[in-house]
Amino acid sequence: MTPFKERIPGFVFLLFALSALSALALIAAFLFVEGVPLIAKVGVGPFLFGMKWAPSQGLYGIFPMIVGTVAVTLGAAVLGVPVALACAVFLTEFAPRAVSAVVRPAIQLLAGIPSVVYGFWGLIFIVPAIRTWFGGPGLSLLAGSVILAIMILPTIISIAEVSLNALPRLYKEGALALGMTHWQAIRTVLIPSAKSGILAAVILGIGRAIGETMAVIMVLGNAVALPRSILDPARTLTTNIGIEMGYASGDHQQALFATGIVLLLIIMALNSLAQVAVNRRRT
Amino acid sequence: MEESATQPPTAATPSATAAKLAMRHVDFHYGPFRALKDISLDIHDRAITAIIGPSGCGKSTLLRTFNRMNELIPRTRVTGDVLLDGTGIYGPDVDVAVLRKRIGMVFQRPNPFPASIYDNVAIGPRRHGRKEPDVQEIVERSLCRAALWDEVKDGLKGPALALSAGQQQLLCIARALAVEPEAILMDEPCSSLDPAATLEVEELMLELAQEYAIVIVTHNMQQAARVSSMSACMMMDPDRAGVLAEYDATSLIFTNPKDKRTEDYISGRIG
Ligand SMILES: Nc1ncnc2c1ncn2[C@@H]1O[C@H](COP(=O)(O)OP(=O)(O)OP(=O)(O)O)[C@@H](O)[C@H]1O
Ligand SMILES: [Mg+2]
Repeated sequence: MTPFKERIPGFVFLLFALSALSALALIAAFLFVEGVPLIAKVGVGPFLFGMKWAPSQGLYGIFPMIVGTVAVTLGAAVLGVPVALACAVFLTEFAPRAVSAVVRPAIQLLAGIPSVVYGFWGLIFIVPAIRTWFGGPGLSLLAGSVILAIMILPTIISIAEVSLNALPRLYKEGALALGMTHWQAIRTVLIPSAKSGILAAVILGIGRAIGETMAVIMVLGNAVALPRSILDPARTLTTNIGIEMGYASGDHQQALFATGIVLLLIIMALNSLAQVAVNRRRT
Repeated sequence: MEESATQPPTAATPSATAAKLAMRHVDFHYGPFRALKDISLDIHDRAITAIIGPSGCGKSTLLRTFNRMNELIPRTRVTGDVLLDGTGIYGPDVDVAVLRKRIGMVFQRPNPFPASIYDNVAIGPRRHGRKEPDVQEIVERSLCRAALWDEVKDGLKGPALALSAGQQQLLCIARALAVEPEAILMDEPCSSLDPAATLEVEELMLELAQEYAIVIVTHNMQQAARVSSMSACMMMDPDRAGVLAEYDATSLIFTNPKDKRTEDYISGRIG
């Protein structure tokens, strides 16, 4: 057996690791303790699929917000993922060193901009632009999607770039040696070879979009009704908590915690999906 | 273009008419560093040509000059003529992709793509516009040709990276054959293989030499002696540039080298 003295560092680090884990456990436990009774009272079905959210009348249906979350996130993915992947491919395969030396830190900077600044910018530029070009109130799913698409770029770009860069040089040489053009090699060998990493990048980016609150509150319009088009205002699970948290009490407050449970489950599902994607590498 | 004034430094020059690939006074530079100096040689069709020489003398550089693979490295430069069937391959109107389709390459480390065995072989023909029933036939033919069909025919959808190193190298050869090349370049194709797999690849090379011009770089003198009919021995100049010390029939190079450096190198390795 190792002497006790040598095992002390191990214990110390274990303690720190456990403290991180316990924070997660604490938050999750708190959410469940506060939220589950309300869900039990309302019923899982009426809570998840109820169309009406009216705390003053005791109605707690979050379905419009689930739809809002899914729609705004999908929109962000549709707009953001192609741009992000093109950017990652550009940085790894096309950009001269001098160009990537400027572009890469610029993209990292994008990740450092506070979300309230994104929201403010969206409110001043994107919302009026949508109102003039497409009509409607401007505060809309589309505005939220555009802002979120920009916000998830750095996450997706950097992870996708890392996974493309990690490919052995021999893959590219092997592809070119078969008489492929550079672009064919990228399309049929490099991107498919990095697909697990790219998938993880996309999933993590989507997770970031689902969790974002502040910027979305500012441009989404926050109506509790089911949105009928991308030009309608909407509300997401996160913004629901963010908006009402300040004045909610009793059942209403518990319903917000319950909303948090749903969010936590969605994020957990996404993260495990990303984990599966990464682990599938090299098969 | 095929004048005899540009012979390699030895007397026994192969007749220019049979040359599939050729170099005429080729210099190659990595930036300021000259890695190849005044190389001229003819590579015969339907034969195996071995390139031997000490480490760093430019064997890989020479090989990769034939399919313009060195271009991937920035600031490299080729002067002189590199010819495929008598036509310069560095000309302005040469399509590099087409050139590389005609001249296949097998690498030192087996490099199958992380896809199925089938897709590894099919990817080339598909890129070159072949459609599925054709592709299927090409895959089978290429795998047969590479002596791998019987081992993998029941698991074509299985991952290529699960094969043994030797099988992976055969797969890479099959992949190269599938685009129907005219010549095949191999850079130490057996250096990461065990003796049994090495023997398998060598047998395959001898087989393929009936149809293709094959150029192989090897550090293994016995291998060069076993498989090649022509041998080019490269050496490093005092300024570290690679030169062609001797180029001749393998039997002559190994029994009666004319160049002192070749003799030292070969005997040092064999004896
Ligand atoms: N990318 C590169 N940039 C600069 N110099 C290089 C590069 N690749 C090779 N060289 C140099 O060119 C010379 C020839 O290299 P090359 O790889 O062709 O030798 P080789 O005969 O294949 O060696 P080995 O037997 O070790 O494989 C060496 O001096 C090497 O340092
Ligand atoms: Mg080499």
